[in-house]
Amino acid sequence: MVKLDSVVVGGGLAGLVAAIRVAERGRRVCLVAEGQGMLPLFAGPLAVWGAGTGIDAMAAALSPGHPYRVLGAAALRAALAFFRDLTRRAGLPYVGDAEANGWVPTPLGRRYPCRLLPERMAPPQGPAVLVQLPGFLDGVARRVRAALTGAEPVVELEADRGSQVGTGWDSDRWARFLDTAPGARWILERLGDRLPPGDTLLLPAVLGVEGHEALGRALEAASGRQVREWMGWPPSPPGARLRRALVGEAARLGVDLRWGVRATLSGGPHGIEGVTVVPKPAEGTRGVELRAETVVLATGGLPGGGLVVERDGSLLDRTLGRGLAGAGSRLRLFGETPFAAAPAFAAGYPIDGRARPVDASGRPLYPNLFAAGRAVGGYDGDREASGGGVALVTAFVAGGEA
Amino acid sequence: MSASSPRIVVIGGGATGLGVIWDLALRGIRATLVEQGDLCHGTSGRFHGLLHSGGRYAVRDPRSAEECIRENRVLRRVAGPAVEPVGGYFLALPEDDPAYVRSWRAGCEAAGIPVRPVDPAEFLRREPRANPRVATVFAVPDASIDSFRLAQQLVAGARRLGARILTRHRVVAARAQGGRVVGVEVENAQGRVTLDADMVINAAGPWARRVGHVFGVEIPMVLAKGSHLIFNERLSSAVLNRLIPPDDGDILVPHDVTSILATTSLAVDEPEDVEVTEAEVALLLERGEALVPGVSGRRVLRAFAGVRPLFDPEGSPGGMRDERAITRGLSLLDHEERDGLGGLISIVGGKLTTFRLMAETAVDLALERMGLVAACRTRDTPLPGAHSPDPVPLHLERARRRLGPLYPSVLDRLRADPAQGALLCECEQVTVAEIDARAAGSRHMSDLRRQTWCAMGPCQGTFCAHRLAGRVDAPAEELVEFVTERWRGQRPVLWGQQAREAAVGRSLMAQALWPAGAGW
Repeated sequence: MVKLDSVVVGGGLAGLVAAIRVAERGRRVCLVAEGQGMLPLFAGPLAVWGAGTGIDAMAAALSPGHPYRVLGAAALRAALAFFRDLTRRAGLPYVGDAEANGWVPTPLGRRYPCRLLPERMAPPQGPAVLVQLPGFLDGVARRVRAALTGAEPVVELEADRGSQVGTGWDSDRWARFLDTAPGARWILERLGDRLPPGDTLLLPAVLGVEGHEALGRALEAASGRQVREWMGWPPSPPGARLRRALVGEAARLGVDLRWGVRATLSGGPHGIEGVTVVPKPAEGTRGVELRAETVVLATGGLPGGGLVVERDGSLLDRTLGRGLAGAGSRLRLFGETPFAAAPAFAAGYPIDGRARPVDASGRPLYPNLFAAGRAVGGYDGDREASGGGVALVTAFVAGGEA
Repeated sequence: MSASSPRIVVIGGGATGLGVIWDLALRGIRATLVEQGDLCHGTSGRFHGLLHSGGRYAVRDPRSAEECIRENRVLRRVAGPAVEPVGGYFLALPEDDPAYVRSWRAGCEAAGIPVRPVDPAEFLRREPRANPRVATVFAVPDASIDSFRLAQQLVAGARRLGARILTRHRVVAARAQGGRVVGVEVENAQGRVTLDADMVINAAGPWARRVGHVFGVEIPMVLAKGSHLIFNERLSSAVLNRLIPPDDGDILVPHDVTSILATTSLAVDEPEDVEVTEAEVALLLERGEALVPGVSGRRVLRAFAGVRPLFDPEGSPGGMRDERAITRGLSLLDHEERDGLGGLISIVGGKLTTFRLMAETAVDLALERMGLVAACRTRDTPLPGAHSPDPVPLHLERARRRLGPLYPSVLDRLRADPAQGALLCECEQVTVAEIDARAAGSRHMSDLRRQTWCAMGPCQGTFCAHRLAGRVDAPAEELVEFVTERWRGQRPVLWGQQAREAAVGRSLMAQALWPAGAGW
């Protein structure tokens, strides 16, 4: 049996931020995660509120169960500031205005509204030049420029004759290539001089993971322009960069990180009494028992796999072994069109002001259990463009309590 | 009418209509086919993919059983890669009626269906996931057939011989003179066109009754919806049939790398009534357990339904009665005889397995009515792409099967530019070369999906729909429509991993299409 102050279950954005916050408070914390979390699928920019209103006006207009409303405007502001400081320390500074939306071009030529962006994805300044990588199918530059004026020049890069560079490559493959010395040389040679006029070079978000900072600076020096990235399709290098930065920061703060393990919680009359973790591929083997005063549930909800839709349309929290209020049937759980509002996409625990999951009468399920990210319900991150902000504010509050 | 240039219009771009135009082309007659949507968007693209041995109908519908086995043999010979000769088994469990087994064997013998008893232990060695309680097993010559590929082969063959095929053209009015049809008016996005015709063949499947109304004739039909589930894996290597009177969820058909569990049967009012209910999903899974225990725990990719156009001369139009008692055999309606309207023939009923025979019968009558003589050649003429001249490396085999007559041109593209070999759709292994070659024909995303199987795999377009849109420069609205269509088939089976993946896909699309507009 291992004794700790706190256990965080889940290794995505919410879990990592919560664990960092707990560790910063001087507590001994262990993070257990089954997979890598959803950050490798995460585009990079953090959306807080798509509609563009300021935080106070937004929070006032929300329905009572929405996590922003429950936790409050002040907590959201504090959480965004906390994340900006955290990412600066971790070497991947996020910029943006908490009260108003910036935007990032999407592969389909739309502007995705967000309030915290990695510097490399901040809106381009001045006229832009777009870059089409050879064979890149996850973003067509001619289409992306519809998010700008639509008239920007496009530089089509070509692979050498007989070279297979780019053929069938997704963003992650490009990033791994550009992280190597030959890869960096390849792109620097092609984006030096002889470019059409413009202040900003706009590329898909593939400029490396480990070496992204150095490569971005080298490209700015070689081209004499600002270099910016547009949003991509998974697997996402900006998500991998953020994961790497947060994992590094968590390790530096002494968080005990355990990947590839499945956790189950056992609750008693006084709260969660233990967390059993077993190696993921070897279910049925004897687990390790963790004892902690507090537990944070950051298991990713429906997309993250923490919450499972059962055949009969009910919802199961796999970690707690607990059923959640569903919609009575699968067809009611999901809407007639993918983007319609539907119970499945707002599924998760309702919480109290301390980010504790509560039951239907508003009482905490357990006094020492907290929830963060998609494990929390009552909001539709896709329709609201609020997923990043909710992940941060819930993780910030849960990590401050746990 | 000049005998040298008869004008024939075929209505309906499913297997039957395409079979008719191919048959006409081989007899030296250049005809025009009109289809309201894309080829095979209706029943021909919405079935279990089983090329029947006829065993299913051996007891209750001997005529249909006979037609099936005869056509099964023909299609194996002429359809080439559209048919996968997987074989099939009929299995009886201890609780199944032994008297039915006896009459089934007698029926198969009478219909000429070769049936071979198989030792259950041997069967279970070949089909380890099948029900171990199986008591009696027979092997039959079932096969699986890909109707989308078949359609492409028929189109290529007919076009090569001068046929005209107009998709997205709906028949809106008939023109008649002196009790004879002389033409049809069709409408597409650009407007209306009149096609002169000496003969019109109505092969519109479940829409045949509606087409009949345009000509002022009544075709008594019963529409029976059949729902299906597609699994993410090949659960059996051969077709598995229950040896019981035809019932819900008693067929499992291996299809490329998936399996299809079929089917329910419910009378519906309209050809567009193809929504799958939760009750049907539950029923199929429950019944499927008898074929493959544990099947309800396997991953289901989609549910889909097709509408069978059954001809029911005894029933009132659209009337309700046990539609499983209605023959699956084909019915040919000569409206000159029935309704006093010359120049119109309807072909209804039948099954995909018998599409060629339906076409042959319809064309025979049409030519007889027109006073023409030309022998049918579809029985012995291989469809284009049916035989590949040289052996093909294994990794290109799927592409060859899918591409049929287009395969050589795709190979040329790949040779000229290796970058064309990039996979646009990883699940179904669809290359850029294939999309580009197809896009020379139609740039509609849904057409390209049916032609290439792009976005039909486990991810249902999450990781390739945007690529396809980018490649053919489809507007965002078309992508939303495409994603919504994929959604409709997933929605009835969203649980477990598939629900999780759908949630991830929704997030990605919602970001990339922000603000998504339609359906937002």
